[in-house]
Amino acid sequence: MTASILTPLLEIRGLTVRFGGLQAVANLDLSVTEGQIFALVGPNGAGKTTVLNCISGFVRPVGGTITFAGVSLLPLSTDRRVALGIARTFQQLQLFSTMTVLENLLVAQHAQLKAGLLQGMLPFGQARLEDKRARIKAQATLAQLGLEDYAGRVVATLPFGIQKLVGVARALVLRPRLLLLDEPAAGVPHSEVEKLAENLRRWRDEIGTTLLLIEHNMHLIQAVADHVCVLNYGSKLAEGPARMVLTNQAVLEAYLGRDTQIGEE
Amino acid sequence: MTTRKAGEPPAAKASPSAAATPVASGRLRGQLASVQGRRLRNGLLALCALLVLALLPTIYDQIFGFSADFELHRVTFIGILIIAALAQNILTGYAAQPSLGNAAFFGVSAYILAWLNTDLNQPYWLGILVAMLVSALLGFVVGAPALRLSGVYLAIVTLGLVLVAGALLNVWDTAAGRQSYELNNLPVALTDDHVLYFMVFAIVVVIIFLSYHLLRSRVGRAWVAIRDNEVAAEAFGVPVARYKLLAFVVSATLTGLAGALYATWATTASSSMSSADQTIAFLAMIVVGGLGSISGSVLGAIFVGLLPLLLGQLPDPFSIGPFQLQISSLITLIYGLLLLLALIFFPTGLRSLGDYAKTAVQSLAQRGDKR
Repeated sequence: MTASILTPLLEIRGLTVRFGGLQAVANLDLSVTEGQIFALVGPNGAGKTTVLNCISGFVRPVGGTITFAGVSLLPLSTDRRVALGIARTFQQLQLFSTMTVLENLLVAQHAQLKAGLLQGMLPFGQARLEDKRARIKAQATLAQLGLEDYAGRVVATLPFGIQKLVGVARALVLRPRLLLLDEPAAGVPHSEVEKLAENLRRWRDEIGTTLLLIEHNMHLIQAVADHVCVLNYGSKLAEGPARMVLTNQAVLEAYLGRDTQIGEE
Repeated sequence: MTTRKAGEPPAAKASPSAAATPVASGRLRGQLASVQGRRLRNGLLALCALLVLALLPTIYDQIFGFSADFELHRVTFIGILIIAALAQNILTGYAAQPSLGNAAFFGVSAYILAWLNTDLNQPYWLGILVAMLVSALLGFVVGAPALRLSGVYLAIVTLGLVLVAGALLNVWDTAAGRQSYELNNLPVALTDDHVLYFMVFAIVVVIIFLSYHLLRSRVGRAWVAIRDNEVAAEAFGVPVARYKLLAFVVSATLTGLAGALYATWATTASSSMSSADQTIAFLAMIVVGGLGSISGSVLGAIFVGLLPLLLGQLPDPFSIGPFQLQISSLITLIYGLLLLLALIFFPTGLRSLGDYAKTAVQSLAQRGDKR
């Protein structure tokens, strides 16, 4: 743990997940280095989201280990993993839709705040101070993502593109060490992908978070990923630095379609 | 029943790019102004409400003369309903637990107060406290298994609880050889309708104040987060089971307080307090008033409290052609109908009447512009 540059931030060893008779992930090894933008790609049903769910604690694997910053994750509950600095976004957004954008970011900080029932009932004291700090933090995060105008708006009334960013803001407000992004480019118009790539890099640099993203959009992966791992039927097909994997003709032909060329989609 | 979507402004046609736009600062200032305006408006409304509450007994003395005490007594009932409505709304409107069990806490706590105060000769305040504590405990006992149930199963199980509790209270009455439990050892001061009025509304004001802050605190946010999206709430470290249980306990405690106050108000506790009719009245309050809102709870309670008074103007039994209707059965019928109609046509309740009016006026104005 002393040489944090050498030991990976996230290390997955022999991860195996079964849903009934279906083997969703088979004996998978992955390691993500601090500061990396790591992309997990592969066709639908390859087990990408399952891997993400194992890391954030929604799915319990039948075998294998996941180590985050030297701590074994699997015995920990979801909220303990959040406290360690793992945050995520969802493919289907899963925002708190009747709340305002700001409130969404406040709920995200739930585990970092302490006020309980009795303190919460009073208009002064610890709870208010804590809340004020959380609000300032939320507003700063919104400003960073250019969302400050939407702070007071109810999420359900916002257009999809903005909601998508709110999902990212909700994760980034925790200043996570590891951010899990489930298809950040899904539903984003082609013209915006370039900007998204730029943003991903900016968040990595400004907030100092490591990104693990699942993505179909080869354009985005080519633009941002440092390291790519291709999954198929729950096992690893290829892994390596982005440039090498993405130009691997076998990968392109077999798993992204024979005619797929980078830049298309 | 758990989400509210209607009444919100239509989605803005903003560009999906989130870069700051030139209008940003203006819009931000507008937003701040509207927040301050809303706060000012809420503060003024609260002040007006307090003033009306404080002056009401005097006004009633002027209007009703001899029958003023009787009329004031009826208003006090609405105060008790407000507490019960708020309790049901915290559980169902905020934490999204469709529990029908609150009537059981309402009845049981009334009997606990009656027992402690009348039979065991304990001080009134101790009786209220114990009644609330027992309700809280019951809320915990009921809430714990309820965590594994959801939706219609939870509703059925908790309705069963209400019927069982009502039957047990009835058995107790029969065993003790009485029709209902009379509270004839209440503090003398509380037999004065003015004193009771001020006591109940002082409690109501304090409870509204505390729950206003609670529902905007970390705890209230966690409840709404569970209602909006349980998966995401869990992903961000909200211990979902614990917060659902907390909602049950808070709701049961408040309903227990309402039950004990009701027994004080009626100077009697009866097993019909824990019945399906009572459950429907509680539900009607929050659905007609507005789910997930404090003002909705208050409006719903006023509505449900006033309806019997209005119907009381009708002759009893009320006859429509050859049919003869007892007013009491008519009331439950009307609650049930309103519940249905409100759920179908008016899902955000009385609370958003103002919003509806505003949109209606705006669309009329727009139509006027086009001409």
